[in-house]
Amino acid sequence: VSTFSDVVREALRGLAEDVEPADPIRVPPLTARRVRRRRARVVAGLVAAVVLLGYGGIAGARALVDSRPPVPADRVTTPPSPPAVACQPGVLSRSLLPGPDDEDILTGLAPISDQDVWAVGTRFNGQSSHPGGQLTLIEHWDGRSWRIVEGPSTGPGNSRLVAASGTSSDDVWAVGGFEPTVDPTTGPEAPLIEHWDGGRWSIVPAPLPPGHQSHSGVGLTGVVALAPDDAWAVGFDDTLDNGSTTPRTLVEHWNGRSWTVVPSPNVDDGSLLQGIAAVSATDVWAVGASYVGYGEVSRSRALVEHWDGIAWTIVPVQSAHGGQPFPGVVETVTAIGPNDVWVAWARSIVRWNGTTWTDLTAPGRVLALTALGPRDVWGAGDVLAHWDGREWTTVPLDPGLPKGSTFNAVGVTPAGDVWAVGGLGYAAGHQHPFALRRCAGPS
Amino acid sequence: VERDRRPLSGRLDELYRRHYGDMLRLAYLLSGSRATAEDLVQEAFVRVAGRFVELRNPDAFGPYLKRTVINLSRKQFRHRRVERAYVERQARQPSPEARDPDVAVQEAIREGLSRLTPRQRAAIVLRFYGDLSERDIAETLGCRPGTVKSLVARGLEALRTEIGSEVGA
Repeated sequence: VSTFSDVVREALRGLAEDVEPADPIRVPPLTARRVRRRRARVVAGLVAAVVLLGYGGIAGARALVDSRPPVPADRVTTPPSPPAVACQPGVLSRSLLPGPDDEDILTGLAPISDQDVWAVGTRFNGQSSHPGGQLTLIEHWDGRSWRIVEGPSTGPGNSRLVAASGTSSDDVWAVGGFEPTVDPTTGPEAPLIEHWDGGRWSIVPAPLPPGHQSHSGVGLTGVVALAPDDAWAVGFDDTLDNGSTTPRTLVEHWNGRSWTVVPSPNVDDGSLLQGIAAVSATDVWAVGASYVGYGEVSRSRALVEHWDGIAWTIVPVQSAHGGQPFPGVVETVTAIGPNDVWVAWARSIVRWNGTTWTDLTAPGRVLALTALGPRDVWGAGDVLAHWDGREWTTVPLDPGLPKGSTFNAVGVTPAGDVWAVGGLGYAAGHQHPFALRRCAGPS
Repeated sequence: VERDRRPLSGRLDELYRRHYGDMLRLAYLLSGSRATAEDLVQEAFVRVAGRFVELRNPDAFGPYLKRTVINLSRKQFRHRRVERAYVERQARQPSPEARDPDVAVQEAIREGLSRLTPRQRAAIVLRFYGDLSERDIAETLGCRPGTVKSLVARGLEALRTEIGSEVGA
């Protein structure tokens, strides 16, 4: 005689047979690609020190074995300490930054002055308490050297910082995401907002989007600070409370007291934002992508949105692509003036003149843009390149960047020094933080 | 442990082959939809294979993957109201196989499952298909073991009623 539990057990087994997988069972190519992309950023391994030695010499080797503890935040020096070596106009210098783990990369940059530059990113350290091995990385340039600076603990789960922006030596923002709990299987997606007040980094609460019960699925990837009471952050809302099964754009604003969610448009089957730049408080640009289809089969389309002081609206970018949807996920934006905005992704750089978009030939794969003026634009990615108003010139690097290196962020100090930071490839899927500085002035 | 030096794609294929069927079936029971189940398994696989440092220890991979499928399916639940209405509509149409008593029970359970609350459904599937202990289920669903006991009991009761009305037993 079988019990009712057995009946249920048997029925469940029968029902499960509805979905017998067809032979042969193989990893779908897109799944394999997604796995590889993740692994390339997570897997730990051996250091190919030769590459770093070749690139950074003794300093490079020292950076590798740098076991100095992080600088306590209260010992971060900002002006007036004079730089040890004066910057020679137009001269490039490079540094390997402290990177204590197998893979550390910098993705965000906030140049405040020639003696005060912040870079943020992610350490992959494989600690057992951080199963994905991701922890925030904050580094500071004081005019002499780069040092890791302690950030606030986000708890036992993974955390990362993606972008940074600041208005002064006591007002710097960094955004990213973190996992509130230790679970090796979920993404690091609750929004993380950190602020530097001149004395320490602290976590500032991120707002819960209206109607949401949870943050799980929210991440921030871009930030721009215009004033101590005016900053914007963008990212994605892929929570289950967002009213859709696909990601939605997310825009948050800081008014000097708190962050609030500001409505932003969505198109197609899903949308997200990645980067942000501002001309003024009433002229802000955000970039990202929309998706047609979402999940395993989706096509991305460039998405550009604009804040006019009242509302965010979509600025169609099709005009640069024969009126057709422009494929790709826009990585970066820089706003030179009201009618001069540049956006870039993959091998596309597109410029807005207030009326139409023009497709400029990209010097390479550009992940970051910054501009000092319409005839002085810097693009960084797998190259570092300069726009002089007529054409792009790739900055020759000697020694050249090792394979697998990328500049992820580029910025300019008020004095005109250009900084680019990123990850120096030294083995498949492994990067070490590095920075390039070009001192202001003609070469 | 000897480091597995096969290319990543070979190891991925093996892990996928080993777990795909089981995970698909579990995800299907949890979600009630093949398409959702397929999406859940792909997503879980990407998350676990993409972050699991020790791919060469496949014994530990399975439990992580299972846990991920369950967690992801819990997220899915909140969207399931619409789908449940659809399943109910479908279930009302008598199918030809419904004359076979075993199939009739199975279909009654299918319909009964779709009427359970997501947590009851998860508790029933994890208990009687996943063979998880009450303690493991409690951990998975984020509740006390006592709650699992009552979720299972109420779920079973609801299924029993469903079967009674369908099969006339």
